[in-house]
Amino acid sequence: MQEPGASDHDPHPASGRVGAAFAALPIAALVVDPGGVIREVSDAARGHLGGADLWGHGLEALAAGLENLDGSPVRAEDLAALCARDSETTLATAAGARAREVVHVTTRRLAEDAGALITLAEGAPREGPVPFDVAFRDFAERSFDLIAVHEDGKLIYANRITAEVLGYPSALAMVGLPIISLVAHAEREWVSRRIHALYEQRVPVPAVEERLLKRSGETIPANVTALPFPTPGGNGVVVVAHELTAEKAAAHELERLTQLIQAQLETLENIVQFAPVGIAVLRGPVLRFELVNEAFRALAPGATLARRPFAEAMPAMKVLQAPLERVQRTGEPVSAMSSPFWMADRDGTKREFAYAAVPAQGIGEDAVLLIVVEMTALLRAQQRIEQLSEERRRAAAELAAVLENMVEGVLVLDANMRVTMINSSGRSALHQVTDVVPDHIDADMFAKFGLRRLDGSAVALEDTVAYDVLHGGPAGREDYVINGGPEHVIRASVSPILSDKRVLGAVMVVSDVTAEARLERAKTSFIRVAAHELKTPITIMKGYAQALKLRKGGITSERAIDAIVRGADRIDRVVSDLLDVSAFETGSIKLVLGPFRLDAMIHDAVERARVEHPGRDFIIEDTPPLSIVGDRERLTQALGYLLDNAARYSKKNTPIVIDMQVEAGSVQVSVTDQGIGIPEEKQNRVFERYYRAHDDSSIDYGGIGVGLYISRRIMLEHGGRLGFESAEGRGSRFWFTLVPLEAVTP
Amino acid sequence: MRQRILVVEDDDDIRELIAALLSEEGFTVDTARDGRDALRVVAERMPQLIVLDMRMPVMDGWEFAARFHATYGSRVPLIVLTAAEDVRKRALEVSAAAWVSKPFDLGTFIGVIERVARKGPAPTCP
Repeated sequence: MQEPGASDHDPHPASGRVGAAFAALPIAALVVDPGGVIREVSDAARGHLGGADLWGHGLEALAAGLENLDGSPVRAEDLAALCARDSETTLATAAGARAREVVHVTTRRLAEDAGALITLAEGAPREGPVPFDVAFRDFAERSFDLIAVHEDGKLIYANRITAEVLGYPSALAMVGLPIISLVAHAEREWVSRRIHALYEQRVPVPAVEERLLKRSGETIPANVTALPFPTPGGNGVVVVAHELTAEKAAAHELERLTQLIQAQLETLENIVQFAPVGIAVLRGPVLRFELVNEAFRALAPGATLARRPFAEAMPAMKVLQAPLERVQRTGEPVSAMSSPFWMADRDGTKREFAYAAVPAQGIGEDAVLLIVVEMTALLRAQQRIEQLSEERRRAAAELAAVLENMVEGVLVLDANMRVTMINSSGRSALHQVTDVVPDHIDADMFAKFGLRRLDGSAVALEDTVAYDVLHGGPAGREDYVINGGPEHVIRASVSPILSDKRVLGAVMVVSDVTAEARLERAKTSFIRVAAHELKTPITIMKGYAQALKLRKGGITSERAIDAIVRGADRIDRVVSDLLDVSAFETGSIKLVLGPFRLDAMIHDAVERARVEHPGRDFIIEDTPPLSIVGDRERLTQALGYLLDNAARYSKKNTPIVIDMQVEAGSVQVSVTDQGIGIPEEKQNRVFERYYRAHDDSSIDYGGIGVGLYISRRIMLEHGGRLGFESAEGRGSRFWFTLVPLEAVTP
Repeated sequence: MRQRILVVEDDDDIRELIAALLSEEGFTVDTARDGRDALRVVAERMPQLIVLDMRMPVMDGWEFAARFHATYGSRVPLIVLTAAEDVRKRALEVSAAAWVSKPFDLGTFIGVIERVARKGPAPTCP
């Protein structure tokens, strides 16, 4: 950076010797070193530039004394560009103390890269006419066209627009460039020929479109004219280029729009001609056909329409005559798209049409455009759709009603395992979930239904049959317990809903299999109990038989035979009970009916019980003489079970009371003990086959769990009833009621 | 000295048969018809051996064994007598020295009893 007056800091080695002589030169001249520092200034130059001492200053000091012809400031870098080559240009001295004057600025490179010599010549070049007069420059600088002057193919002038459009920093910076460098590469060859021709023939060339090259490498279209121009060298050419970019775009757009409109018009014409809508133009007082399209013609096959009155040519459409006349008269359009009229086909088929009539002023004052649309297929389709949807609604309603009233619980699951439907049996099978809105049942449905595995563990959705089925598995079923206890067992059978082998969902049929599950458990337990009940008498019989045979233990044959007979009796009783259960189950039981004295039967039964349970206190309260009709053996057996139970489920020192109450039309016999009683939660099950209320305790009360079942069945066969009251730990009272003979045959 | 043996069995016929057999074999036999009865007997006269039925009314074999062991320790061996199918499991449950399943052969039964009896009371017995 050069500071003003910094000469002693970096004195030019030549300045000492040449300085004084240079200053005395009769021309305005300056020497600038390669670093842009002014090293020599002639006094004449100082005079031009308002007397400022420029020596040792940078080019900005020189630029400050100059301006462009349009008045814009000259920049130091513009001057540096000029100094970098031999050049000539025209500037003005900046208005200062002196009047503004145009100066011709010439730069020449000094030998050995020593910098540049700048000379300033007043007003005009030294020789020839004045081509770059102020008027030309003023005109050029105000033009919106690109204007440049070249001599021997090199730019000596360009206006500001040229620099701006082509992207150069300034017009001055373009001076010295070859003119061809401003032409797009692809066009240089022919442009170059044109330039040569111009230089040789010195006649103007007509305007032609060229592509100019911007400094950035982009090209722009321009309309270019060139003509000979008197320059200092005498061989100049002025080039005027009119930028075409905007015009070009507008022309393209116009062409495109024209084509589009053309295409649209054609389309419109095609639409009118080929639309499946009848279109006709009618004119004149009798509405003569002026124009019809294909579809309209098809409405009246074979008929001649052209120029004929509407009423005469289309009698089938006579209902339209009045509306058409109204449209013609009033100019108000009529649309009857929703209220069809009909015409009969040649074969008599009714065809429905809708129409619209509008004034067609574009064609003529009295012209009416008639549009007719056949609605037959549409209306039929609509009717069919309505019919089908009605059928579908009915089928759906029927299906819903069937499902709703099925005995089995039915759930429909979608592919995401959401319940989309559940019928009332399903709701009741799943207990207390009637308030569950099906749509809201989601992945937690098993939890929400309170379903668990038989072992009580939670149901993981992915491990269910439903999940398998929804993922392509085969139909299947599984059992769940509900509400966390073993008391209710639900069986779910799941089948896929398939469409084209794709699983859309699943149908789950749920049924309450509690009874089956209980029976299953009871049967398993029964086998164990029955085996034990049979093994005890077998142990007795085998033991005593062996003792007799081996003469062991001093057992007498009488004692052994007694024991063996008792054992055989016990086996016989178990087997008889089993046969009875089987007979009641299959309905093959046969009662041997006859009249007998109930009071005597009670005494007999109690007598047998006393033998069975020696030492027990059986108390018969009151047995008035009473005859009934029935199977004496069976009724004795039934009472026997009640007495046997009372003895087995109560302590030895407590009494068992037998009572008989005769009431109007019925007799009730009861057996009351002070035993362990039946827990309340088990009371509803004591009449089930193989059920033993105390089976879950290890204490053996004996029996195989069929006594109450058989007793109840015997009572039912007699038209009687069997019931009980019981309190756990306090005892039970079992009773049965029968109809006495007097009541049967009064 | 005759060994004292307690037979706990609810069925009269079976209890009497076993008692007769064991008396003949030289044991002094006490009998009980259920677990509670048996606890009363051992409180009066401690046997050297107990033959125990499992399923009995009033107090079953498991409860008797538990109470007996809790009160008297395990120096008196138990021989389980049961009709259950998993007799071996039952025997283990009450830490029995041996088991006999019902129905049984007299010879086998006596053999088991004598084998356990010959081992005598546990060495820790005073």
